[in-house]
Amino acid sequence: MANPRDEELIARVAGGELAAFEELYARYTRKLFGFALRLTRAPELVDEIVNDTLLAVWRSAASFDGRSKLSTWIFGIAYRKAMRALGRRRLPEADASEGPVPVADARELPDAVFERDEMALRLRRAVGELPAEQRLVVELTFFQGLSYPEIAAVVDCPVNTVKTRMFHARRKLRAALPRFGLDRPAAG
Amino acid sequence: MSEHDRFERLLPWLVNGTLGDPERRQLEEHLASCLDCREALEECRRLAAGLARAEPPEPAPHPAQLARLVERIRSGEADRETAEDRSGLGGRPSRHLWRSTPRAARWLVGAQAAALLLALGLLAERPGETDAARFRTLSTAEAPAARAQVRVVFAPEASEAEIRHLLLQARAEIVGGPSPLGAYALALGPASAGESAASVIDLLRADPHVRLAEPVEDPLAPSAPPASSAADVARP
Repeated sequence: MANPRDEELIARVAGGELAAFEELYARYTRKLFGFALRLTRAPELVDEIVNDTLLAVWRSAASFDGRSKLSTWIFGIAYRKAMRALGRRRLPEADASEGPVPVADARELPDAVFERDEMALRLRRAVGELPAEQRLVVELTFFQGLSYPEIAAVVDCPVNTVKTRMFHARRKLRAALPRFGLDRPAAG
Repeated sequence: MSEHDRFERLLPWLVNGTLGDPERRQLEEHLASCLDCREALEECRRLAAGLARAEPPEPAPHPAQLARLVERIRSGEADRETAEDRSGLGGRPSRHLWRSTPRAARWLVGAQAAALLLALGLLAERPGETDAARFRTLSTAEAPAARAQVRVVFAPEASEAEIRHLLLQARAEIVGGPSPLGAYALALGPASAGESAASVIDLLRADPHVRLAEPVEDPLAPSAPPASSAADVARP
């Protein structure tokens, strides 16, 4: 059986077809976990965000109108679930003034490889210090491969806002990028 | 904003390959004559590559977390957005569980749990379906002659012979599946319709080769359109 397109699947989900939902689940769950984890940097919230998102997809499949890609629609839901989950807690970036994201954050992560990679750690830390709305644009561009109009649809903002957020994010992340090979990052 | 600035801000989407055609061509023409933008493009590429190395791999769900969702659904809490009970104790144990689970095993476990979750919870939680509709297959006198269906996940170690024996015993046959996550739909024999569907389910549940057995809703029951109350989903 050929892989049905996302749009077909969601139409079948809207019709109550559980198998179609399972296929969507298999297709999106990992992406959603990565999205929620990288966006919130709060592993304890990730389960909740993903579950809430999937439930909303199941319940509201019929309201998907096909004007956007399904992935855009799903990330839009996940984004709002994530913001709501973060809102119930203290926003992580509100604490950024207290200092850099602790290295323990990275040490806890399952892949030990990048623990040894200083540049990666530095960059990860810098991403963690971005305001959530800038981190979201970075996430959707570089991890989820969305175009800027798609990101604008996810976030529900003008395309120029997306470009501006990315512009500021790049400027902040620049310091964490080695310019030539093993160069030290610029100060500040 | 100058034309140069406008082009410069598009570079990340040139890197991720999503720029539409007229825009991409114009940007490439600009790049040919703009050293600053070529340097910025190089920086964007380094950023993309660096991020790929810096961020952790995407985690797989852990069954404990999915089981909690099942509980949530079953206890009718799915609609509530309360975080109190989940933000504290709720999240942490499973996080450590999935972290301590070997990565290769996680997806398998997760997929199994997902099948459990789906079969257990979501089916029963379809919005707009009243209890009357849900139980029609099992109890309503004027229910159509359609055969009752059960959704089953077999234990991974169950052999074909064991499954066959069980199906004969239950007078059930496989009419659908496996789903991507390994669930089968069984149709119960005509003699098993009505009240006795529950006892067949009990029989299946008692069998060690069955991970899960749950009634499937009457496929002929009318289903109301899903509620789309949440503002979360209103937008495209």
